Amino acid sequence: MSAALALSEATVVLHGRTVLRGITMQVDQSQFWGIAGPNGAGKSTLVKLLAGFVPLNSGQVQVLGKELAGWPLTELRRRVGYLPQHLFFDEGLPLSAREVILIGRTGLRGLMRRLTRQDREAAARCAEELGVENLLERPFGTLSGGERQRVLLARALSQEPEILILDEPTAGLDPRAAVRFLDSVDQLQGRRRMTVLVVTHEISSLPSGCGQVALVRDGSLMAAGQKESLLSDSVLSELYGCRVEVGRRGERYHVFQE
Amino acid sequence: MNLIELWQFQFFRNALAASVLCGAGCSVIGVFIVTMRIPFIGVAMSHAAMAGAVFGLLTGLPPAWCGFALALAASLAVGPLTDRVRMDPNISLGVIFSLMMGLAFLGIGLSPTPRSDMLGLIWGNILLISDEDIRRLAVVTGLGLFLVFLFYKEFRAVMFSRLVAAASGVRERFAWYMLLVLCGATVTVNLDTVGGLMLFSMIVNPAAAAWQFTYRMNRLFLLSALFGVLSAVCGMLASSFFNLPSGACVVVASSALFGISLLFSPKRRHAGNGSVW
Repeated sequence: MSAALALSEATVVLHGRTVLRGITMQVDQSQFWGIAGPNGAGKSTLVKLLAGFVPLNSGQVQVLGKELAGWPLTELRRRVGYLPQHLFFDEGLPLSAREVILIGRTGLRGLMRRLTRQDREAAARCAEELGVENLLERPFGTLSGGERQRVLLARALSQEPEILILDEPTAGLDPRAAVRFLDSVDQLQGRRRMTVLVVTHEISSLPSGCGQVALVRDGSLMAAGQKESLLSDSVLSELYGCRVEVGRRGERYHVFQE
Repeated sequence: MNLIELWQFQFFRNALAASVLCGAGCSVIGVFIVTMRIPFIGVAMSHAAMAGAVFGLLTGLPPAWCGFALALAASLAVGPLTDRVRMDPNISLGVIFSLMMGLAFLGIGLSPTPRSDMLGLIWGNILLISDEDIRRLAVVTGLGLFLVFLFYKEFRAVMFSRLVAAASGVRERFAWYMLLVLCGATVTVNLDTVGGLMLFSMIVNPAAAAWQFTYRMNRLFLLSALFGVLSAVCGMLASSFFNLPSGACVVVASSALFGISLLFSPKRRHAGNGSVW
């Protein structure tokens, strides 16, 4: 199986601080990874590196078989669908959910080219896939948190990415909305067999379909591999720096602090 | 003198044409400025254009081109300043505004000749607009509207979120910088209509008024242009009939239009009923 992402001793220094040090890992095509760790571990920086939002200081990173530095930035960002963690926008902005989803097609279409009927149909299909087709004409600012996240995910999908990266996608969502969102991601990955990475600081927010996890602590990769073998009391206690107990309900894992 | 009689005069026809072009051009740019919450850009660019024009008058160079050059330089400086220093755009614009205002009034103070031309930049001279001015205004306004049409989808993405636009592979930095340049160009070319001090209201008021009536971006542009033209023409006519300063009348008209929009806004009625939308 070919690698969608390959990192070798990747190091990132931001504002004089080494945020990622010597990260080596490989994500194969169609794999579904969770990236977990405590706050400030460097998880978001890791995915921002892969999406072309932070520079690589040393080491090697390959995305879809090509060196990171060899990618034109807009082309990289089009091929890697990225849902950022923090999004600040004006709730009063008169943009509909459809128009937000069409932002994904804007980069795909390119400068000075009008959006076509195919673009609108593609956006509508992504909306339907995520169950937000009935929200298309609603102003984006009027949607609930969960609805917004699914619309933003539809936006990322509409750009036809080969890799999908979701950074803390359930942050701020109530349990029902979070579960619904994670189920959407599971179904999406199952249908499309996309390479998906989900970043979370809460183990319970890992989609049940993800098979591999990377555990990041203090900028280093503590462990990476099959979810079942890594999500144990001892490993997660070391990850979070305190004694925790791991529970499992169905396909979802939960962490309880002792 | 009635409208038909006034229509006989070239200066009146030019002033009316300038009002329409100013109302349309400024208000369309105003939609971006209001929705992106960077109102300071209107003031910063108008003062940059004023400072450039003052420099032109002091040195004997064409004031319109000097104003355009400095406004363009200021607009090109805002983008990198905001991105590299990671400040809110309004802070960068505030710094540029204060610098340009200082330079403009410094130039006015240094002028050895009567300052009527320079003061005209502050208050505007819509009744003295020439055929050449109209042509320049029409070309720049037309070009600006064309660029908005051409890059509308990129501008819309940047209006929502530069981060999401970047994540979608949109050339967001290009779009953001182009928006700033368009603002600078629009402000510069309209300096003669209402003057640098009051041009800000023609940029902000029509868009702010239009925003009270719609949740749709395309309707916001259309309404803003309509309100811009309406307030410019009404102000100009009021100035002609009542022999009042033209720039001030246009500004008061646009402000009155905003006040009326607040009274009749369906959004305010919904807010009064307890719902946000």
